[in-house]
Amino acid sequence: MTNGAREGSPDPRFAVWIGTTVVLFLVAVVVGFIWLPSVQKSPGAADFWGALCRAVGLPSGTGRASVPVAAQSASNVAWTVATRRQLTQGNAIRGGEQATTCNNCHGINGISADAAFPNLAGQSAAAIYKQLEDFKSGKRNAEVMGVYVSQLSEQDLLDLAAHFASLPNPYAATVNTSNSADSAARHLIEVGDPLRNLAPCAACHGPLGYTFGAPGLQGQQRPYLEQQMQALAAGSRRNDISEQMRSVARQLTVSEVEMLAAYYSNVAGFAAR
Amino acid sequence: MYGSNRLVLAHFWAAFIAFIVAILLGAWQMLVRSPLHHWVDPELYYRAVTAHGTTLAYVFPTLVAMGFGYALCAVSLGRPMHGVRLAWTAFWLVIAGAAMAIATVSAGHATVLYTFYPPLSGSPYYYIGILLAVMGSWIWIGLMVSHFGRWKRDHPGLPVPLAMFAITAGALLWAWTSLGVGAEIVFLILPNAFGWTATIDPGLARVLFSWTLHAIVYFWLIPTYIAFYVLLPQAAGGRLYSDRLGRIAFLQLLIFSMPIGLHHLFADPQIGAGFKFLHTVFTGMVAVPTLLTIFTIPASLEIAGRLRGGRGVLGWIAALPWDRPLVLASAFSLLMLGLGGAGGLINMSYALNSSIHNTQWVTGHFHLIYGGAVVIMYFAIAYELWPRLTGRPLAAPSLVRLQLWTWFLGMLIVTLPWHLVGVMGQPRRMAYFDYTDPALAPQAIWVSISAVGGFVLVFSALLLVGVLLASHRGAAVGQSPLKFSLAVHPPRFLPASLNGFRIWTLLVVALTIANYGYPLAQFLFLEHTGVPAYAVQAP
Repeated sequence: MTNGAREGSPDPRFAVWIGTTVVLFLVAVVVGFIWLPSVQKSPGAADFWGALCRAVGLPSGTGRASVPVAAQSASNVAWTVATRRQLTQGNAIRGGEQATTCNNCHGINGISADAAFPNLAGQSAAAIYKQLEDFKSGKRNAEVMGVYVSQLSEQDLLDLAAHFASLPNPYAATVNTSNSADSAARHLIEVGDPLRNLAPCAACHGPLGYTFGAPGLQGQQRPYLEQQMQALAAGSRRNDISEQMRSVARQLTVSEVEMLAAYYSNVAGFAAR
Repeated sequence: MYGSNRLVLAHFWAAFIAFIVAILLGAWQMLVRSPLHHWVDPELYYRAVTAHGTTLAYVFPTLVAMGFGYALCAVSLGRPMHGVRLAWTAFWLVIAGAAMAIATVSAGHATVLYTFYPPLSGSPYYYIGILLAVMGSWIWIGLMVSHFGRWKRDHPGLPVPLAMFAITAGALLWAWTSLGVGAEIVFLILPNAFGWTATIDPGLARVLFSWTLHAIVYFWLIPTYIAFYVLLPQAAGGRLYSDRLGRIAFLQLLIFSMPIGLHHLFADPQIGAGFKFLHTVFTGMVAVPTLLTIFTIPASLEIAGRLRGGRGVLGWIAALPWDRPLVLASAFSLLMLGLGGAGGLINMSYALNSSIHNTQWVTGHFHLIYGGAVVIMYFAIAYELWPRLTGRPLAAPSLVRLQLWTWFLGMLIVTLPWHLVGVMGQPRRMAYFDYTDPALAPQAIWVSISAVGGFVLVFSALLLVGVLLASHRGAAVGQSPLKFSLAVHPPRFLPASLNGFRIWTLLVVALTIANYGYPLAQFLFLEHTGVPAYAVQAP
């Protein structure tokens, strides 16, 4: 083992090992990009080129499914990239100037004095914008709110949404009951009830996670929460885009609705957006 | 060690302090998500997981590799290091970056887990902290490469000592592979975290992270393998079976551990199946240096066993000096490497992977390999270095053996049940489970057992720190300097291919372009791949 080539003399190992690596690469390419796709005949890979495109990761002509994203009948709002960009255009200061009417019912800091009206402070701009837009288009029962929003422009809605989103989070004032782990309400909120096809509330409405446009519920007014769940169950409110909330609310018993509203109205948010 | 003692000690102590904190967090996490405890605030759970992962992935092994690298460099080259001030700068950069990142996580502003996959988005200070720590390690890379080059220039035609060759391979590996996460943070995450971009591209971010994600494990593994090759045969009283096989193994680790990272993205739609296959093939190749090592190291141990009078097919095993920490730890390490490696074959197979992808099996796998096989050798390295660094004997050898035994058993108690519940379908990274659900009830007993294992590991980790602390207070006696294993046939001359990295580095770059070029370049023309970030911020 001591008679290797001296430093400086040509070393054939380079050629052998690099050559081996190149051959390995070529074999892997032929197998992975040509042979396997052509024998597997996976969907969208009808012909040779389609199969090759799939292997590369290129959407092929035949395999490319177009997914139209359009507003559903439940709401005119769709969470497209364009909508999301639009949401960043809201001006919170202008919104604040316009919010004087809102403040009469929803409170000067976005915390309402009358428990029938929801708190708006600290909600995401997306959640507020969607509800305003739905009131305006009549997708959500607009008996009261319709009067106020019908005259507002698109930009006004964005500004108001930005304003309420910028107000201090009200959740800090509520009691964090997260340690009552065994309560039925917390179980429903954090685990759901798979046998009834109920997803955990907390996965979309916090505190575990927030899906885009879904309102955070911690610290919300208890009667308002109850009222909305009843309206969704009865079908008098139907602006949830994929009917997901109506499906949930219909499954809830009267006592569960009360329990959930009581729990959420008291729980502090520990992971707001 | 040629004036590097304080430098090396500082790195190891900083590493072990970070380690202790992370281990305590880890045991707490296992307890609170087990049936033995009521549910806790999931935000706290994920905060702890983020701190645990960040510390153990970016801080602890980096400090160990750096400290061990300085020791290897000074001793194997047989002369004092240059650039010691730079080395201290690097050290403080790592410490400052780590402190910044962990403080941000503790404050609840970056509960994004250590992989921080966008669109999850935390405070920019978390990412800047990680970047600072990585930049500190880049200084170390420069020092290793410069010592390697300077020694070679001063000793033309002579073989670079294996220890120096191996740590330089590790440094080059880290240099190339840390660019992935570096680019992800600088070009994608920070602009978004500061609000300069409206959307972030999760697919591109994940591909860049995968550039780092697999090879980082081999960066963690390099000190372990170096201990196998240059310390273990000497400690066992024998010789290294082959110096050249060792060099080949380290070269292969350098070449094959990086262009394979897409096997972490088997379930990702933005990568074509062909590239997943290509990376699977090269993942198979990275098993080769491990197989070489599994041949060379037991062969070296057999030489030692037979020199010590062991006879028969297996008699040499009993003749090995099992009371020495390095020998005992290496055996545990190889056992865990074997078990974990077998599991890894399942992870790397496109089809088999789908049955365990993102389950607790994966957590079990990398804890067994990294927390087990790799980290137990970090302990053994510390036990080997400590008397040389402090000039005092290692305190309580029997406690040292107890420490290694408890770490080995504790890690098996933790990870084997995790593998099992992973196969039963338990997803990883969950803050709590409802074990009263009939579908989950059978997992409860295994999760409880593994939680107990977590406390065995805490005991072992505290024992480690206790022994190392006590070893600073023994009577000062002259200690023999660190000696490296002699090969059966020590190389007098080596071919250029086994004595330098220039051409191999080019091969690494070429393979990266071949295996990662298109998966990265496709984001230049794919449309609508950006999404808004999902900010994780405490109220």
